[in-house]
Amino acid sequence: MMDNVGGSSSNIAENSGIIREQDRLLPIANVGKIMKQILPPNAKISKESKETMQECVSEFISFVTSEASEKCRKERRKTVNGDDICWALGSLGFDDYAEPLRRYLQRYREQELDRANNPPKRG
Amino acid sequence: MFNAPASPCGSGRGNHESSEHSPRSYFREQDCFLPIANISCIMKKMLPSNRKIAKDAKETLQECVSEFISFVTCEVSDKCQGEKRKTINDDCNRTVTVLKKEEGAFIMLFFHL
Repeated sequence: MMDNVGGSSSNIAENSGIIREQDRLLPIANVGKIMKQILPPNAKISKESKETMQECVSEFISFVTSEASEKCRKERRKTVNGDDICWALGSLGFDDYAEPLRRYLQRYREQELDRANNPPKRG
Repeated sequence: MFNAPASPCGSGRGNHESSEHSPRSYFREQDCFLPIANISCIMKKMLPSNRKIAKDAKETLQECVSEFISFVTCEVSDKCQGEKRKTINDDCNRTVTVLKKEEGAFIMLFFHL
């Protein structure tokens, strides 16, 4: 598996002691890019904010995944799928996310099916 | 210079309308997503060793976290503009403070901002 872990520096945060490198798994450059897209052209983003967002997003992924995993456990399934993620978002109160993602997931599957039926030509 | 379509502050997000090009391929070209391998790694930490993650689950969460970043950034930006500040700093830290204080932090997050 590709090991593309970004954000190599570790920091001492005031309230939570040392943040280990593995707790900053998402590349800070990607996080910064996404943040910039939503901001006015003259806005600036401090490094600390990017690092805070990095941590925030990692927590968010863990939170949603944990909820989806619990659903799978109760239903005695071994594989977490996209529907479980959408369900978890709704369950955790992120309804605004759940519905658009269901539509996204539907289109994603249609696209996958289309690709399977029409394999791209090579050479 | 990125020209990716971003939702304006205050309007609904998750707009995936596309008549010709798949939103995924378009956004991927713009580097609007976080690497799926990293997302997968974080997800695996939360799962029992025998649990598997389907590809569509990873992609769904990949899409979701981009929206999450945009949403939080947008809310914080509104505050900065209201307070005549250009650098986002304090509000992001307040967000994390909320996250760490309570179990239902993410729900609080949206009400708090």
